[in-house]
Amino acid sequence: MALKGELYVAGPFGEEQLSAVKAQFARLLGAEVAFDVRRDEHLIGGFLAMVDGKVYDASISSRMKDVQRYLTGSE
Amino acid sequence: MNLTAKEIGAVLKQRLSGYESKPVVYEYGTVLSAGDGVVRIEGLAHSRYGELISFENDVYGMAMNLELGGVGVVLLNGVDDVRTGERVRGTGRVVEVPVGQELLGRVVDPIGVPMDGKPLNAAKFRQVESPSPRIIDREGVNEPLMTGLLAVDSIIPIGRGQRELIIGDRQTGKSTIAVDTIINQRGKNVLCVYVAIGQKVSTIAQLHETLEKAGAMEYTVIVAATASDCAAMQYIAPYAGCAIAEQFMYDGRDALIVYDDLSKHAVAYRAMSLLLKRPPGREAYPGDVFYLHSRLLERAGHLKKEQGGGSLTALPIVETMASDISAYIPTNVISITDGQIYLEPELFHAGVRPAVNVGLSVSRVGGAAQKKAMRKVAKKLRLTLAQYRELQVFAQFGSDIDPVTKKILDDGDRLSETLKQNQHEPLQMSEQVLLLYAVMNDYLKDVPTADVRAFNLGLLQYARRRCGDTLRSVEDGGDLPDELAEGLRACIEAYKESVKA
Repeated sequence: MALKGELYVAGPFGEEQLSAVKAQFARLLGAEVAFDVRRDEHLIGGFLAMVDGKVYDASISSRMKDVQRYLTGSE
Repeated sequence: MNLTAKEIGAVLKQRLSGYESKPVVYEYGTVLSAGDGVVRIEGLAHSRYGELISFENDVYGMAMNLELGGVGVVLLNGVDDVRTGERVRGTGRVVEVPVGQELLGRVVDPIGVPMDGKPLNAAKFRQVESPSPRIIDREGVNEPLMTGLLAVDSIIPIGRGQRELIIGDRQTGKSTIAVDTIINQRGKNVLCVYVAIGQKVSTIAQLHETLEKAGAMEYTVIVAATASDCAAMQYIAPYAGCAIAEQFMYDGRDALIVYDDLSKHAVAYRAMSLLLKRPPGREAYPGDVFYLHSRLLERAGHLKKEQGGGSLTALPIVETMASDISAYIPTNVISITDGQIYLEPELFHAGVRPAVNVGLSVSRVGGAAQKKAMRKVAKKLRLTLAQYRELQVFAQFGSDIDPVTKKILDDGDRLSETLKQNQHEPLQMSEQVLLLYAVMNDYLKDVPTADVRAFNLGLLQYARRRCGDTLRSVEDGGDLPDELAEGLRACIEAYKESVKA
C-alpha cells in the first residue's frame, strides 16, 4: 500500500536525498511513501515529514529547541 | 564575570556532555473548528482520554471526546488564540500537576502554574486523574481530625480519612468552617489543600491573607480556579488539588482537602459537557455528574500501616438554593459522603454561629473518631439538644411550664450559648472538654443565659493560666480519668469563686 505524505525541507533538496529519505521510511513503515516536497526555511536544516497522522521531526530547529530545553532545565 | 568565547564554549560543552538527541516523532491533528473553549480536531487517532494536547503559542487543551477521525478538546488556556487549520500535537501524557513539599505555602492554578509570582521547583509530578486506593490498602477511620469548633467536634466528629460535606445556603459560614479547620491543624501534623473553584480573585486573596496571618500557609496549598478561568480549568481544579493532597497521603502524611465548592464545579462541568454536545439530563447536567463527584471523593481515605498509614480527609462544600437540600447536586454529594454539616440561614441570623443544624447534621463515622475524653463529655449532648429543640417549639406558646420542662429549656439555652464560637478562634480538644464538662455537669445553672459566653471565655482564660497542667494531660492522654475530671471540677469551682469575689 502506498502512503501519501508531506516532506518539509529547509533548502535545496536533491533526488538522491529524497530517495534516501524514502528508503528509510519504506523500512520503518513497510510501505512506499509518495512525498509532496515543500520548502520551509524555518527548519534551518534537516527535514520534517508528516506521514499517516504522525510527524517525524528531524529538523535542526527542533533539535536546537531540544538542546535549549536541556540546558535551561525546563521540561 | 567576564567570560571569553572559548570559556563559554567549554562550559556549554561540559553541560551538554550528557545530552542525547532523540528522534522526535509525535501524532498531529488539524483544528477543524474552535469556539467557546471547545475545539474539534481532525487526526490524533491514537490520543488517550484526558491527554494533554499542545497547540501553537503554548496553548494547551485536554482531550475529552474521542471519536472516529477526530477528537473534541477543551482548552485550558488561551481560548482566543486557536485558529482553524492550526496544527496540534498530542503529547502522549495525561494532564499532570507538580506535587510535593515544595508546594506548601503556595498558590497555584489547576495545572500547577504558580500564581504568586515566585518560581516553583517541584521534583515530582502526578496525574490529575488517578484511581482511588484499593479496599485492601484501606483501614477504618479511627483518629479524629479536630476542626477546633466545639459544635462540630462534639456532636459531628470528623475522622482522618473521612469525607464530610459542608452544606448550606450562601452566606451561612460554610467556608468559615473549612478555613477554621485548616487554621486548627497548626502543630497537628496535617497538611492542607484548599481548592477554590469559581471564586472571586479577591476572595482568594483574602483567604490567603487570613491563612497567612494565622500562620497556616506554611502547611497549606491553595489551588485556585477563579471565576474568570475557563470551564475546563474549573473542572480539573478539584482533581488537581486531590492529586497534590494524595501525594501527601501516599508519603505517609495526614492530609486535609477542602473543595470550595462542588456546586460551582458541577456547573462548570455542565457548561463544558453541553459545549461538547453531550446530551443534557436532569437540570441540564450531563448523565455522569454523579460519577464526576464520586470518583473525586472516593480518592479520600485512610491507608493501612503497610501502605504508610497516611490519610486524606475531604471536606467538600455544596451551596444550596433556598435551603433545598433535595436538589440534584446536594443529594448526590450527600449520598457520596460519610455525613454532612448542615448550616441554616435562620440560625445564622439568630446569632447562632457556627449555624450548625444539629438535627440534620450527621457524621457516619461518629464516636469511632473521637478521643475518649470528648466521648465522655459529649455523650448526652445530641439527646439534650434534640429534647430542647422539640420543647422550644411548644414553649413559644408561653403560659405555665412545669419545672422539668423549664430545666430542659434552660439547660438547652446554656448549651446553645456554649456552642457559639467566634470565627478563626479554634479551641483545643482539652478546652472543648472543659467547656462541655462545665455545662453538662450543671456548673452554669446559676449563670444567666446572656452571660454564658462571657463566663465561658473567662473560664477558658482562667484555665489556660491556672490549670494548664490538667488541660495538657487531657490533650496528650486523650482520656478523662476520674482524677483529671476532678482537676477540671476544681478548676471550674476555683474560677467561679474568683468571679464571685
